[in-house]
Parts: sequence; C-alpha cells; structure tokens
Amino acid sequence: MSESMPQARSSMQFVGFRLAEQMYAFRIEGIQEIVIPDRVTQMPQVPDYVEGVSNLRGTIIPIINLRRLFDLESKPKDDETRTIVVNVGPRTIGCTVDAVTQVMKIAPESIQSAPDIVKADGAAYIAGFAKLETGLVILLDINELLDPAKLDQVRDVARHGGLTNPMSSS
Amino acid sequence: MGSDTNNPANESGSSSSDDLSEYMQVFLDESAEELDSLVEAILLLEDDPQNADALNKAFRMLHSLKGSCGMMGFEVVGDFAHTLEDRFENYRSGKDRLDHDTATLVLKCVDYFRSFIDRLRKGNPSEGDPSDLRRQLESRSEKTLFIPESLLRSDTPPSPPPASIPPAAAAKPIPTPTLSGGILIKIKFKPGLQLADLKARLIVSRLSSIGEVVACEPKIEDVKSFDQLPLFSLTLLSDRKLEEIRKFANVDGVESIEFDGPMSSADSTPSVRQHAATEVLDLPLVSETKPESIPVKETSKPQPVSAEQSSRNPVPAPSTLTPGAKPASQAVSETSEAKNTVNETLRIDIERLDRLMNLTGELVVTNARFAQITADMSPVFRRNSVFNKSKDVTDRLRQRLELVRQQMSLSKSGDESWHSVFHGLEDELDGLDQQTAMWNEGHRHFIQITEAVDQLTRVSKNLQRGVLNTRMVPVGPLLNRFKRVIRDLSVERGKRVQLLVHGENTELDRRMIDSLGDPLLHLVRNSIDHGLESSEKRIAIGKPEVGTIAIEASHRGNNVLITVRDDGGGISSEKIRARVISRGIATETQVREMSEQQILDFIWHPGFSTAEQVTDISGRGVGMDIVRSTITSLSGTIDVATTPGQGTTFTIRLPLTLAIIRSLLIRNRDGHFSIPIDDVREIVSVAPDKIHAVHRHLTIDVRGELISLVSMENIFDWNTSAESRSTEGNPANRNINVVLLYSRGRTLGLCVDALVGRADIVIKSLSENFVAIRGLSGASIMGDGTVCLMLDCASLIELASERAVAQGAGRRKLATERGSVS
Repeated sequence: MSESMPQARSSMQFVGFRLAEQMYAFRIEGIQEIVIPDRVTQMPQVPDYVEGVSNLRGTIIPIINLRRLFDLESKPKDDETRTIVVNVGPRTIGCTVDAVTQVMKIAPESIQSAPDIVKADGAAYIAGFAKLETGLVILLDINELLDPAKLDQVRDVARHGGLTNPMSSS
Repeated sequence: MGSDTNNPANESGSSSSDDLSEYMQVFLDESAEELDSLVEAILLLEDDPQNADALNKAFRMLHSLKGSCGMMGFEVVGDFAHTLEDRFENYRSGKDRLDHDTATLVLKCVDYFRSFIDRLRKGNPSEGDPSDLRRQLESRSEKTLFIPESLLRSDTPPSPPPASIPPAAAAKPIPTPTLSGGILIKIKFKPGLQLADLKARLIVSRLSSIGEVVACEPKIEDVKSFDQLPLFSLTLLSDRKLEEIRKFANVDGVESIEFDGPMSSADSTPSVRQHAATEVLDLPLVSETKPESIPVKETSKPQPVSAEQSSRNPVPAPSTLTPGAKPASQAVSETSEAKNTVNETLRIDIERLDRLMNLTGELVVTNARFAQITADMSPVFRRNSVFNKSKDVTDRLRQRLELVRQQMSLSKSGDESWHSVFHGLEDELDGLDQQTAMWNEGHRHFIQITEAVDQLTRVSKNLQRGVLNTRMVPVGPLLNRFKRVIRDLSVERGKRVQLLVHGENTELDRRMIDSLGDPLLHLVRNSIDHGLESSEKRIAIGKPEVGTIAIEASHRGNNVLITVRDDGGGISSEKIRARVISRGIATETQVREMSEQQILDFIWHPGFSTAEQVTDISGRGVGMDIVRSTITSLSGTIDVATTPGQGTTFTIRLPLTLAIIRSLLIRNRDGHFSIPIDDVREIVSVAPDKIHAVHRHLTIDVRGELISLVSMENIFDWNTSAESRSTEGNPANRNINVVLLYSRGRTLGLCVDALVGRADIVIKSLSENFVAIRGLSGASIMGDGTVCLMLDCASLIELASERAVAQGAGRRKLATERGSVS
C-alpha cells in the first residue's frame, strides 16, 4: 500500500469530509486544494461516477462524484458541496463530497487499521478507522481510491461490499 | 473552509541540479548536432573527396567534438576525436585523400561517438573502447595512399591519383572569394537620391557590423558636403562572402553594388564580375579611389575579363601573392565558414515553449471571448440611433408638456396642484436627459472598447504566431539523416539507391520532427527492402540501374505533406491478398469482394507486418501499423498509392502544429464541442423530411450521395444522470444542422443542435489527468472558463460503424424521434 498507515509517528493531519452522514478523511498530504464546485462539462463514454471535466486554472481535471462512486443515492449540489482536488501520482483529480468538515489531527494510536475482512474484500482504499468524539471516521487512501485504473474496482466493491456501513461487516 | 491547503508532498520535489548536468544537456545536444553535420560532410566527401567546404566542416566538427569532450572530462573519446581530427587535417591540406572505405570506417567512428552520446543520455558515462577502430584507421591510412580511388568506386569518374596532386593545386577549389586583404566596394546610388550622405553612413555602419571599414571615398566625414553623391566607395576588411556583404550594403536607394579588388578564382560569383564590367564605363570616380591600404591578391588564372579589369583599375593593384599565401587563405576560409554557421540562437527547454504556447492560446481564447461580448453588445450600443431616439422622445415629451401648460394657462383653469405636477414631470424629463447623456457616454466608451479589443486581437494573434514560430524548425536535418541510412542499407542489400530530398526548408513543429524519425525510417527501409528491385532486375526491365527514393516536404494550406516515393516494383495486391488469407486476417471470399484500395489498406493492419520483416534488416520490428499509429498520434494521416512496376508513394499529412487546432465549435444540448476544421467536409442544413431510413440506417442525401447520419446521443454512451440531460430536442419542423465529418476516406453526418463558429483551439490531453476516451481527442478551455471537448473524427466514424451493427434498437429510437418531427 502506497499511502498506508503511520508507523510510530506523531499525530497526522487529515481533512475530514462528509458523505451521506458518514464521516471520511483523506490525509492532508495528498490534497492539493479544496474548491467550490465550478462548472463541469459532461463527458461521454465514462461511468456515471465521473461527473465530467472541469477547468482548474487552466488545467483540465476530471471530477469524480464520490457519492456515486460509493453507490450512494445522488444528491443535488448545495452550498456545502465541495470539490477536493487531490494528487494521484502525476495526475490531478477532483472529487465532490457533501461537505468538508474540518482539518483534524489524529494520533496514531487512535487509528485502527482496516479489518482484514474489509481488505480481503478488495477494499484496499480503506486505510483505517478512527473513533473520534464526533463519531467514527473512515480514513481513505487517495491513491487506492481515485487512481483512474482502480475506480471501477472501487465501485464494484462499494456496490457489493458494505462500505456504507463498514463496522457492521466486520 | 479555506480554499487552499498547503501541500508539502508536492513542494519537496527536488529540482536542484548541479551545474555539470546543466552543461551536460548542452554537450549532448551539441554533440548530436555535430555528429549529424559530420555525417553529412562525409557523405558529401564520398562523392567529391576534395570538396573543401565539406572537409573544413568535418574537420571543424571533429575539432569541436574533441574540445567539448575534453572539457567534460571524457578523455578517451576526446583523444579518439583528436586522432580523427588529425586525419582530416591531412585530407584538408591535400596530403591524403578520403576514400570510400575510409569513409565507411569514419562513419563507424561516428557510430561509436553516437553510442557514447546515447549511453550518456541514459546516464551511463562509460566511454567505450575505440582502440579497435583506431587500429583500423591506422592501417587504413597506410593503404590509402596507394590505392587509386577509381578502383574502389566505379561510379565516380576516374580522378588523378592523390600523389599527383601538388598541395597547392589541391587547395585550389577552396572558394575564397573573401580575403583579409580588404574588398573595395563601390556603391552607386540612384540618381538624385535625397539624403545620400545618410545612406552612405548607414551603409558604413551596417558593414561595420560584419567587418572593418578601413577607407571611404569620399571620406565619411565629408559626405555631408556633397549635394549629390552618385558614387560612394569603401574598403572593407571582412571574411564574409561577397553575397552576404552585398546584402548588408544593399539599402534603400542603392542602385548597384560592385566589388573590386581581391577577386579570387574564376568560378566565384561571375555575375558580380559581369555586372562590374558593364557598370564601369560610367563611373569616372573610380579613378580617384585610393587603394593604398588594399593588398590585392590577383588571381593567376587568365580569364576573359581580366584585361578589362586591369584597365578599369588605373592604379595597378599591388600583387601580394606570396608562397605563404596559401595556408593563410585556407585559415581564413575556415574561420569565415565558422562565423557563417554561428547563428544567434538560444537553447530553450521545449517544455517552457509549451507552457508559453498554452498561455498564448488561452490569451487568444480569452480574447475571442472579449470579441464575442462586444459583438453581442453591438446591436444595442453601436448604433447612435438608440441614443438619438431617446433624445427625440424626451424632446417631444417636453414640447407636449409645454403645449399642455400653455393650454392650461389659457383656459386659466390651472391651480396649484397642476403646477407641481408639471414641475415633477420636468424633473423627470431632466433625469431622462441625464440618462441619455450617460447612455451617450457609454456608447462612446463602447466604441473605445471595441477598438481596444480589435487591437488586442491583432496583438494576440501576432503573439500567437510568434510563439508558434519559435517551435518551428526546418525538416532538413531530419530528412538528411536518411542519406546515411540509405547509404548503409544500399551497401548491405547490394542495391544501388539514390536519395532525393526536396523541401528541406519546410518547417514543422519541433515535437513532430522528433516523432517522425522512426516512421520515416521505416518507410525508407521498406522501400529499399521490398520496393526497389535488384540492380540486375532493374536493368533487365529497362529502368535506371540506380533506384531512387525521394523524400519531399511541402506546405499545403494548414498542413505539411511529406511524401516518400520510390521507383520500385510497387506493392503487389496479389501478394497482399495471399498474405491476408494466410494470416487469417480475412477469408478468401471476403478478400475477393474487396477493391484494390481496400486490399492495399491491409498493409496497415496490425496482423500484417510479418516475421519476414523482423528477420531482415528493416526490422526494429516496427510494422506499418506502428507507422500509422505514430502518425495518427501526431494528428496526421498517412496514405499509400502504388502503381505496379512503377513504384509506391506514401503521403504523410501533418498539421502545422500540434498546439493549435483550427476548429468548428458546435453546441449539442448544454455542452460545446469542437471539431478540427480539417475533418469537416461540409455543413448542411437538412429538413426533417429529407432524412431517410435506408435499411434502418438514417441517411441523408447530399447531392446524390447517401451519407449515414448519427447524433451525439446515439454515438456515445452518456452515463450522466437523467435530470441534466432531459432536454427537449429540436423545435418541430426546424432544419437540422448536419456536420459532415470526413476521415480516412469515409464520411459521416453528425447532427448538432447549433453551430457556434470557428475557433483556434489549444488542445489539452484528457489522459494527462484522467484517461483517454475513445471518440474524443482532447479538451480545451473556452473563453468563459468552461471545458469544451474535441471530437476525434476518425474514431468517431469507427464508433459509428460499430454502433450501426450493435445498436439497431438505438437507431430505431432516433428514427422515430427524428421521424416524428416530419
């Protein structure tokens, strides 16, 4: 795993976001910026979780709808909708989430690695879980989640595996 | 939420490079160029071993290679270059002659240098061991003196053996029209030229940039005192060629320029001499020329004009021809060559140019947006009539108000309340006047904006062209590289081949030049291997023994055409048929029904390139399908035409640049798409009842030609959610705009909702941040910041024909949708 969990390091920073009442987080290092969604040009020949392409200051980036990628019911954009722009290898990719909540520091000891059963399920994109006061946060591995070559697999796992309610499956 | 998060991962990228690696890039690039020039020189020398230019060039290249290797610390390589340099010194001085076999050996040495450079580029600084080559060179140097070249090469006319050439004679053909001795230049101005003194000064200052002006007649300080200056002469110390000097001296107002003094061998610029001879009679001032500082070298060769020449030089030129003059003149010609080839250039990372190009492209697009906005505002603002009309209206209102007031005062029925109403109305009218004035002001500003936008358009177009030009390089070096390939291959295959290159100055985007090498190489090899017949056969069928491969480059509109033509046996369609069947690409029955062109097109089929080709020398294992896909990736096309018994021609058509694509903008539903203009055959407007369903294919009839019709909806999979795409189609009975796409000989009609216009598109790749999508060649950013997708017509047509087979149902749906309109 490329961007895996901390080994005996001090607390790491995550950017938390919300999708259908569930909290998720990306490690801050993989995030380029967070923007308010701009106009998106729809593309043909792509799965439905690809909203299309957008212009980020002269660079054309794809926009992945995380709700649809996780096979959740879609939801119209509102004031809270954000596009998180991340770097996946050499690529710059945007993904839309319901809301970005906060930047949080999580101490390594409060992170549980993903249960083996989840990983065996092919959900390598789940890097771990953290129990915070506000609730359970699913930590996602950007490189496993948003690599264009792995998107279909993520979608498959999300559709058949139980990411929507991960704790129940373990 | 902050819109910006710091990103340490991105910033920690190490871009620090040490100085040496910076030089290394320059060293690698320059050495590669030097080797190219060296090969070119050697190939020239093979045909003409005494070609002084080529000898000097080869010597210079080796010399500079030696120097730069030494500087970079590659001693073994530098040393070896030094050995070669010594050899060429001997050739240059006439002590020895380059023969065919040695030339072959020298080319091998070049290969050694090349492989060294290649290794270095990949980060492997191993210098290799040239000692074997060195030994061969040494043994060769002893032999060559005794083997007359005429025995080795039958195609060159027998030349006298080297021993019989005295050094001086050998040096004779070196063209040295220029000497350090000084050139007398006589400039005749047009009669009655105003400000001739200024012109004279201009000429002096221009010439000073290429040499030293040692004398003027009349003196440059005095020229002002002459009312008329019909003739002006000066003496220039310069090692430039006469033609070049002429260019510098030729300013506006100059009627003729003649050169005098050190004319060299008879073959140098006879036209100048001729000119001088005819002009001399009406130039009495010449006799006053002071040639005191002009050491003139008189040619010893008798020539027809020499009598005239001496008669026009009343002061006899002192002959300074001394035995020591020869090496000196040689040195001069060398340095002059060196100076000539030094262009003021700057190496720039092509990535930087790309960025500049992209930015300029965006500027142009933004500019187009401005132009669009002003055009949209134009109907309201441009015409004065709006302003006039509102002024008229207020004036009329005011008159009526006055009338009413008079009526009221006449009838004396006015009371105080009416008064205030009038007052109020007057105030309102004043307000309206102010508005009109502001409107007028706005109108004036608008006119200014329009002008500014026009100016911006001009500037940005020029900027774009300028930036574009920085990327353009001549194809000459690329094409000339094949001289070597052909030479080697023809030797190996025992076929005699000549290469003709035309259009070397045709310019092409640098990126394309880099990618074109391999495909062209393959075509050339193919021609030698499979196209050209053996010498015996050629003689037997009455063709010239030497086969010809011609590579031509030319501009054709917005494209560059490169053709590779051979005069060989052509491609046998029978053989293709046989192979297609034997490889199971198509069945016998299928093949039988195909046209000749369809059969010929099988050479592009991936399964067609064969093992046979890999085993022989044409094989890096590159098949014709790779050739085609490379050309396609450059947005180009390649076609083949063949005439049995007469030869084969491959035609590559490339866009001038990859950076900017002339496009047709269309709107479909809520999105914009661009289509490269080159792929648009025609735009037609079709009435709904003119769309026919032929065997369930929707077709339209364009002047008798049936063309199948598709829409963006049924050619692509649109997976986007329904709510955003559920728009109603055309209003009833409206004509449908159809863009006829043309690619690779096939035409397809594409229904579009609206035609937007033409635009120069800066294309960006979709795969850079995502994945390539079939049917789209990229995307671009529009003036308003939205992304516009570019259609890839070739794959769109393929997609359409696949869909035609797979999706009968979908088509029927369209049929009913469109049909219901009629």
